[in-house]
Amino acid sequence: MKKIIFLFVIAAMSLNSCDFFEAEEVFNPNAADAAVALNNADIPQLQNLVTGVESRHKGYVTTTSRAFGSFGREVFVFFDSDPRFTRDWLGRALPPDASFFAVGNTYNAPYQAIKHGFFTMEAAANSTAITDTERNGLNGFVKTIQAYQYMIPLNAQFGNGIRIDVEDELNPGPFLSYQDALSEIRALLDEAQTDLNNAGSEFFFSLTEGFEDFNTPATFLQLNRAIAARAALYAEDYSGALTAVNASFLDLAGDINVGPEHVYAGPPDTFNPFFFPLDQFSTQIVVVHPSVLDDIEAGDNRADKFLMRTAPANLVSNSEFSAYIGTHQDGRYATNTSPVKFLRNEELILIYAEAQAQTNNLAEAVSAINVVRSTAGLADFANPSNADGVIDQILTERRFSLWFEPWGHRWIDARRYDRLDEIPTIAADETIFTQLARPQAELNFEEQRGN
Amino acid sequence: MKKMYKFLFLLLFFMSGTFFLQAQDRKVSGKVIEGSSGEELTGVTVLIKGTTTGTTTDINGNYSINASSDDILVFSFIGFSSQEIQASSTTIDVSLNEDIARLEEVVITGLASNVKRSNLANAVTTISDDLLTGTTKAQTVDEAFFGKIPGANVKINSGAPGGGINIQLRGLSTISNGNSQPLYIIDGVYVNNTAATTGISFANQAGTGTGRGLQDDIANRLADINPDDIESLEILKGPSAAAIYGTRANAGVVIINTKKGAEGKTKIKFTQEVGFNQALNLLGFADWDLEKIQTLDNQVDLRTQLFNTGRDIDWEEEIYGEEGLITNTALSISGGNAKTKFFVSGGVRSEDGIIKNTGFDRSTIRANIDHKFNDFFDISINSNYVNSVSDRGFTGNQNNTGASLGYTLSFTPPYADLFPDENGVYPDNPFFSENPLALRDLATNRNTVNRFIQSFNANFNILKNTNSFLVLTLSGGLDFTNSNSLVHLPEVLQFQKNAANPGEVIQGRVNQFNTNFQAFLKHNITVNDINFNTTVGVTKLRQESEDVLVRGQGLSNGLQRANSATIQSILREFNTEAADFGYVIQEEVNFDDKVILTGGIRFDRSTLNLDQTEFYAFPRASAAVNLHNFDFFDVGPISQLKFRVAYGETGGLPVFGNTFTQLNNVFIGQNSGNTLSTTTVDPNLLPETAQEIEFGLDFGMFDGKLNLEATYFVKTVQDLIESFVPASSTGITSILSNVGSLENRGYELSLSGTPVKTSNFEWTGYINAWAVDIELTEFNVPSFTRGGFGAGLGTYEFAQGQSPTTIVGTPELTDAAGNGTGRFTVYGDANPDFQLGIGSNFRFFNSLSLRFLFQHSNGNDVINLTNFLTDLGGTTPDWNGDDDNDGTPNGQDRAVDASRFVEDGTYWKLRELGLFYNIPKSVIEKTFGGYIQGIRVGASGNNLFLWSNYTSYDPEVSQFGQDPVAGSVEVTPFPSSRRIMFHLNIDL
Repeated sequence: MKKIIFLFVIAAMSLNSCDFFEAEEVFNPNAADAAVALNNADIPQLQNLVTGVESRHKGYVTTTSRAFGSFGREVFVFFDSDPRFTRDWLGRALPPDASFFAVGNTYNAPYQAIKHGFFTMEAAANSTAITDTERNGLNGFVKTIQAYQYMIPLNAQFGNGIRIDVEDELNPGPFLSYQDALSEIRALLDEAQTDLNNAGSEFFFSLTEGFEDFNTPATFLQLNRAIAARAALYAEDYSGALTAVNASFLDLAGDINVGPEHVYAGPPDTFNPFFFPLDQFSTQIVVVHPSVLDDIEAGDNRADKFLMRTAPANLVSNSEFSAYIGTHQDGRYATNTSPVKFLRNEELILIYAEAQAQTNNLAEAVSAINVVRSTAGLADFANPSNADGVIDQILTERRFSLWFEPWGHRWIDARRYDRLDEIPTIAADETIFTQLARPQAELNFEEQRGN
Repeated sequence: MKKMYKFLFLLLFFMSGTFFLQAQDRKVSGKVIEGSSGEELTGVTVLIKGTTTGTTTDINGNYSINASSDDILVFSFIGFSSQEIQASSTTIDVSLNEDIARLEEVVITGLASNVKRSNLANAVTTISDDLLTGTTKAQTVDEAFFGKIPGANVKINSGAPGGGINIQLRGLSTISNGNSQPLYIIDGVYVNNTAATTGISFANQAGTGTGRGLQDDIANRLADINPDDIESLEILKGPSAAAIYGTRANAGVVIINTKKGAEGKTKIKFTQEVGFNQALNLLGFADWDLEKIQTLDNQVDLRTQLFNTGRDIDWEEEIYGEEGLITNTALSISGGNAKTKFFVSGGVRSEDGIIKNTGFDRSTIRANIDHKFNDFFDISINSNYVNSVSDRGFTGNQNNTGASLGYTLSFTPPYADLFPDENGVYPDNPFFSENPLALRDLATNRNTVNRFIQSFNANFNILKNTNSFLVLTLSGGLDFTNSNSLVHLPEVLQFQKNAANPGEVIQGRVNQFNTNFQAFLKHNITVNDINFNTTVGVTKLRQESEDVLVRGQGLSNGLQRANSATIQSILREFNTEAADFGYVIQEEVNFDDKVILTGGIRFDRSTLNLDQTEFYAFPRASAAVNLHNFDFFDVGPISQLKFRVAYGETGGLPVFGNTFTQLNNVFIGQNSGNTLSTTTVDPNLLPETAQEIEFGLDFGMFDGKLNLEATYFVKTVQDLIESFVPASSTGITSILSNVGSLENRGYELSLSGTPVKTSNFEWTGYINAWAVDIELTEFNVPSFTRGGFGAGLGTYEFAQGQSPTTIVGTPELTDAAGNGTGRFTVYGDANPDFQLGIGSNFRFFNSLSLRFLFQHSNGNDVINLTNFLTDLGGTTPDWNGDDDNDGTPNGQDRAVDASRFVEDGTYWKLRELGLFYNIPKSVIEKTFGGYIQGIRVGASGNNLFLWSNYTSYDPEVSQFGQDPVAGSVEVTPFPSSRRIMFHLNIDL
C-alpha cells in the first residue's frame, strides 16, 4: 500500500516539477516593448516610429481648435451633457486655474508628440540600418514637427512661458519666457533646416498623403520654413519672417489652399473632428460664433465655410445658455474622413503681407492682401498709406481666412496686437482670457523639486 | 529549489518507517449525551490527551477505547465545549454542553493549518452559514457581509441586480485600483473575483481613456457563488493573520468552505423562496408651474405648451417603480458512510430588478465528495458549475449619448410625452438626447457567465503514532470563467437615429483561467504537554486571461452583431499571464492551550513584479496567552481571558501590464505605426508591502454567555504603487512608482452573548463596532487629485498627512501672494468615522424565531453629482424651495464651488429581518408520517429600511466600481432596492 502512495506522490510531483519552479519570464503579450526599438531598430521599425510622429502630430487638433476657437470667439462648443464647454471656456465661471476644464490636451498632446519625437530620433541614432544622410532626413522631419508642437503650449501659456528642455522626464529643464522659448523653437527649426539640407534627395521613410507635396527633404524644408515664418511673426522678427516665408511654399499667384494636412481615415484611424453632418440634431456640436457671421463682409465667399442650419443649435438642457444660439455650423469638410490642412498658402500670403507691412513695404503688403481678397470675391483693399490701417486689414483677413483652423489664430492674433478687448462677447459675465494657467502637474512637480 | 524536494522525500522515507499503533491497557467505555436535552451524541471524538489515539461515539452515543488509568480522555464535538476526564474508572458517561462562545471552533488560518478559536492570536471573523443566510438571502455572498465583519468597510456600488461590492478590510491596503479586494479562496482554490469590462463605457461614453471600464458598473465575480452552498467563511483581515498567504494578501483573505456530507442517514434539504423587491428610497421629483418654466428660461414655449396639456407623469416611479419577482430554489442531498461522504446541490435564483428588463439569474450545481481510501490516504473533490446572467440596464454616468436612464430622467419633466404610440414608435424626448422609456425597453446590457470551479485536497497520513503524526497534503484546483457581454443600443433610439452610424453594439468575450497547486508537509508532535506543529510547503498560482471587445456601429434590422455593422472595430484585445511561487515554513508551539506561539515565513516571487525573479519574504509571529487555562486562574464567572498579539507582513502586486513600457499601435491614413506609451515605470519599482501589528483581548463570562473580543491594530502599507504625474511637459502622463506609505490605525470591538436562555425563550445577540483612521504618512511625489470628475465637481486628493479618501474641490487654495497652490479646499472624507453592526436572534419556544441586523456607517462623505444634473433639469426634489429666502429657487441658487456636491452619507440600514417558524415535529409526523424530518416557513427582508439625511437615493454608491479610494461618487445610479421574501424549507 505504501508503495502505491509513494508512486502517487512521486507522480503528482513530477507532473509539476518540470515547470513548477522554472517559469519563464512573462513578456508583454499585448504590445511591443519600447526597449526593443532602441536596440538597433531596423527600417520597418523606424518607419513605424515616424508614422507614430505623424499620428502624434495631430493629437492636439480637436481640443486645441475647440478651446482656442472658443477663447477667440470663432466658435461655440455645445455639449449638452457638459455645460462647462460653454460656461468655463467662455470665461463665465472661475478664471483659468491649474486644473482648468478640458484644456489639458492643448498642453499634453503636443508634448507627447515632442516626447515621441525624441524617442524616434534616439531609435534612429542607435540604428545601423540607415545611413547618416538618411538619419538627417529623419531628424529634420522630427525636429520640424517638434517645433510646430512646441508653439501650441507656448501660445496657450503665453506669459507663463514653457519648458523646452523636456527630454529627461525625471529632470526637465526650466521654464523659459515666451520670447526665449520662441528663440529656442526657431533655433530648432534652423537645426532641422541644416539636417534637411544634408538629407539627400529622398526620405528613407514614407509619410501619409497629408504630406504629399512635402515628402522629400527639399519640399519638406519648404514646410519647415513656413513654420519658421509663423514663429518669426510671433517673435516680431518681421525681416526673419520675410526671409522664411520666401523660402517656404508661399505662392502669391497660386492656389491659396495648398498646404500639408492632417489625415483622417476613420477606424482604426480617427474621424475628422470638424465634420458634423449638416442639420443633424446633435448633443455635441461646434457652431459658428454669431459675431463672425455679423462681421463678415457681404459677398465674401469665405462665408461659404459656414452652413446655415434649418434648426439652430443650442444647449437645450440648460437655461443659463439661452442666449447662445448657433445658426450656422462648420461647412468646410465634405465627409468625416476629409483631411484637415494645418498650414495653407493663404496664411503664408498673409504672413508675407504682415511682414512687409511691418517692414514698411505697405504697397507690397496691400497687394498680398488683395490676393486673398480677390480670391474671396471681394474688391481690392484701398491702401490707407499707414501701417496701422494695413495691419488692421491683415488681422481682419486673417480672422476670416484662418477661421477655426486647427491652431486658434484669432485668439493668438488678437493677443499679438494687444486687441483681446476687441473680441466680441455676448453675455456680460464672459471673460476673454489672455492665457491659460500653468497646469497642475507642472506646479506639483516644481513644488516637489523645491522651486 | 530541487533541494526542497529531496528534503521532502527524505522526510517521507524516514518517517514512514516508524509507523505503528500502540496497544493500550484496558477498555474504557461509556455514553456521551447532550447536556440540556439528554440526546445521545453521535460522532463525538474521544481522544487520549497528548496522543493521536482515539475513537468516535456510535449512533447511540456509545464509545469504547483502550486506556490506562493515568490517561486523560478528551471528549470533543463540533459546536460543543470539550471536556477532559481522567480515565480512572472503566465506565465514563459524559454530557457535553453547547459551545456558545465558539471557542472550540476550528479556524483555518493558513494554507495547511488550522487552530482552535480559543488559541487564535488574531481576531479572525468567522461567518457561519446561519449568520450568512439564516435570516435572509442576499443576492450574492458579499452582499451578506454588512455589519458582520468588524473592521470591514463593505459598500455596494449600485442597486443594479447581480452584485458589485467593494470590500476594504482594516482601512486601505492600496491606493491604486489593482488588488484592492481581499483574496478569495474557496475550498483551496484561488478564485477569480475580477470585474471584467463590458465596454458599456464606450457606448454611453461615460469614461475616456484609461478611466474606461471603471464606470461600467459591473459585478465582481464572487456573484457567481451560491450562498446556499457555503458552510462558513473565515476572514483574515490583515497581514498579521494573512501573512502566510504572502504576496497577494495585503487586502486580506476570505476563506470560503463549502458544505460537506456527513456520515449517517442521507439528508435531503429543499428550499423554495419567493419574494419581490422594490425601490428603497425614491426621491420624488419637483413640481412644475408656469412661473417655474419662465424661471428656468429654457425651451419656454415648448414647456408651456406641454405643461398646458395637463400631463403629469412621475417618471421616476415609471422607470424605477417596478416590483421585481425573486425566486430561489435550492436542493441539496448529503450523506455518506465511514469511507465516502458526499454533498450535492443545485440552486436556481432569479431576480428581476426595479427597472424593467433588468435582473439577475444564477444557476449552480455542486458535488463535493470526500473519500477515505484507508488510514493513509483520503481525498476531497469539490466541483462547481455556475451559469449566471445579469441584465444591469443603463444607469449612472453617460456623455451626450443619453444612454443612462437616471441621467435622462434628471432632465425630463412630468409633462414630457414619451410613451410609444400604437405602432410602438417612441417619440423623441425634446429635453434630453434620449427617451428613457425607449432606452429601457429596447436597449440591452447583458453579461452571461459560465464558470467551472474545481478543487481537490489529498492527504497522505505518512506517520501516526501515539504522540505525533506527519501528513502530506496536496491540494489545489482551477477556476475557469467565460463571460460574454452584450451592450446593444438599437438604431431606433433617439440618440442613435441622429448619430452618423445609427445603432451600436459592443460584444465582449472574456476567458479567465486560474490554477493553483500546493504541497504541504505537516508534522505534529506532543512532548510533555507541549505541542509542536510544523508546516512546510510550496505553492504555485497561475492566472491567465484573454478578453476582446468588438464594436459595431451602423446597424439595421435590429441585429445585434458587430459583423453586420457599417463600422466594425476592435475596442480592446488584452491578454494577461501571471505566475506566483512561494515557499512556506511555519512553527506553532502550544503549551497545553495556555500559551500558543506561532512563527512563520513565506518567500514569494511573482511575474507581476518588475523584477520577476526576485523573492520577497513575508514573516509572521504571534502569541496568545489563555490566562483562564492556567491553574492559578479561578475568577468566578470569568470563563475566558486571553491576551494576544500578532505581527505579520504581506504583499501587494502591480497590476498586470503596468510594469511594461510599451509601444502603442496607431493608425493614420493608410499607415500604421507605433507611438511611445505615455505611461512608464520606475526602474526600481518594488511590490507593496504591508506590516500589521494587532493586539487583542478576548474575554468571556458565564460559560461563554457573554463575550467580548477587542482588537487594536496598526497596519502600514509601504511602497504604495501608484502612477504619479510628472511634469506634463515631459510627454509622460504617468510613472508607476512607489509613492509613499500609509497607515491604518483602528479598533474592533465585538460583544456577543446570550442574555437569556430558557427552554421557552432564548435571546442571542451581538454588537460589532469598529473604526479606522487612515493617513498617508509619507508621500514622496507631488500631491495630486484623483477620481471623480475634476476639482470643480469634487475629487480626492493624495497628499502627505491626510487620508487618501479626503474629498476636496474648488476653490483652489492660494498662497499669501494669491497664487494657486495646486491644493484644493477640503470638504470631507469618504472613510467612515465608525461603523456598527447590531444583530439579535430571539427564539420563542422551540419553533419561532425572530432575527434582525442593523448596520450603521457614520461620517462617510459622498460626492453627489445627481443633484447637479437634476438642478439643470429642474427636477431636484427641493428645486422649487427657497431656503435662503433670496427669491431665487434652490435649484438655481447653489454654491458655485465644489462644496455643494459633498454630502454626509451617514446612514442606518435595517439590513436583515427574519421571522421563521419550525412546524412542530409532532404535527409533521402526524401529517407526513416519517417521510419529512422538518419544515420551516418564514418571511424575511433584506435592506428593508434606510435612515439617512443624504439627499439622493442611497449614500452607499460608487460610480467608479471597486476603486478603493475614489469610489464614493454618485451620478444618477441604479437606485437601491429592498427585498422581501417568503421561505419554505423542507428537510427529508
